[in-house]
Amino acid sequence: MSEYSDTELMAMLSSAFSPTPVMPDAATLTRLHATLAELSNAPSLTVVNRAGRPKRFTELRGRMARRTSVVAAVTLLFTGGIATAAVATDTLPGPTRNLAYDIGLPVTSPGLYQAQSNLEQLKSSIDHRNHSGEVRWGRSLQHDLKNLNDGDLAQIRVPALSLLSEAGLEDPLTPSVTTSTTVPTNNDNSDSNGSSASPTSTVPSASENDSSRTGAAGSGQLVPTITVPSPTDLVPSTSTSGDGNNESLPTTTSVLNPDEVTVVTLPPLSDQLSNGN
Amino acid sequence: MAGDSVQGGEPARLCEGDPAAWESFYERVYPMMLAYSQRRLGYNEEARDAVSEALARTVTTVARMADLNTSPEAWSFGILRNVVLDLQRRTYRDRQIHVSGAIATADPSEVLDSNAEHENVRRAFAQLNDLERELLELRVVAGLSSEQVAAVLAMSPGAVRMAQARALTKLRNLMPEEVQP
Repeated sequence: MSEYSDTELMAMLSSAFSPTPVMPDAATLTRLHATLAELSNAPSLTVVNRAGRPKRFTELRGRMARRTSVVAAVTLLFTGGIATAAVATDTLPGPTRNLAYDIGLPVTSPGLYQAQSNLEQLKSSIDHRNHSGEVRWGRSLQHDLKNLNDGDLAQIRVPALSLLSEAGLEDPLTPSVTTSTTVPTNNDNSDSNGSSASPTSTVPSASENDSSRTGAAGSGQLVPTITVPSPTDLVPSTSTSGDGNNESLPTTTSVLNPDEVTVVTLPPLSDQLSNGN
Repeated sequence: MAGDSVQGGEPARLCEGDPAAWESFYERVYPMMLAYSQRRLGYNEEARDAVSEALARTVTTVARMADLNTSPEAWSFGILRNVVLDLQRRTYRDRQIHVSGAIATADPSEVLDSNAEHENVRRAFAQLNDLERELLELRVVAGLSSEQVAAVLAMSPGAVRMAQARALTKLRNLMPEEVQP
């Protein structure tokens, strides 16, 4: 163990580890000056900014460009929102609707929109028992239905026909067939007054009867019907001779249709009377 | 002592970014910082780069130094210590102080200083632990005061003094008797 004091040990250490006197190398000094220059520039820029230096044209132009962009974006969003809402709620006015429909936007076609409007009016008239309104809006709806394409017609056909039926109007989509029933009579049969007892008669179809009742017969649209002769149509017309003799009654043929001919042959009246006795 | 030279308003001039003050400061602390760096990183360009990096960071952070009321030397050595530690962690280098190796690989002036007393001191110094070596080096080589070393090592000045006393006692015991004067 040595007997060096702390001071002596410190001196020995300082002597043993004394650094070699070297100067900073060029790279270190260059870096020093670069760092000092960088630091000297930073505060000056801050001071300049705080002094409220007049803004440069480029700064103003950039700010104006940003503001213009913001205004344009807001306007675009606003109009786009209105258009989207109009399309979504299907409340476009007529010309706009036509244009929108033509360019392919998902809006209701003008024809269907018109039919739907008339349908609503017809429904309102029915609810309020407005007969003139029913006729008016019903005819408009009939007209609209005839002009719709298949896709649009499929959307409105069921409620429209229901309301038309409720209003007593014809289905404009189904052509009606008029079937006449002709009951020929025996030309020989004439009453004593010389008038024809039962000339050829045409029995209108039930639909025609309904149309005439409601006043819509003029539409020319008839529902196809199956004509069934009424029992009375099949009753042979009777003729009585002027002398009152009971002669055998002529056979009466009731012709409904060229394809369906029903021949009813009745026995002579004398036979019937004799059998009755 | 290096810390004495900062009197006379040098810290204020450094904070103002006076180039002449910084050049003077560089010339004064550079040899000590380079010696400190070389003993930890070796006598290579990495040690010089560490010193350059530490001095540059000292320039950019000198305002904080004034707020902490410490000396530029202590501030710059604290930065250098962190830079060296970062490099050692990055390169997985052993923190062994190149005391004995310095004799063989040091620059010619150190190699030529081969008297027996210095050799024995270096050998004894090499047997101290890391903290003791670093503390004595900062006190002796860098010339920092106990307060400045405490700032660098994040210790209290009293703890620095006690650690220094223990390190010197240990060094004394390690010194061979035959070289006593």
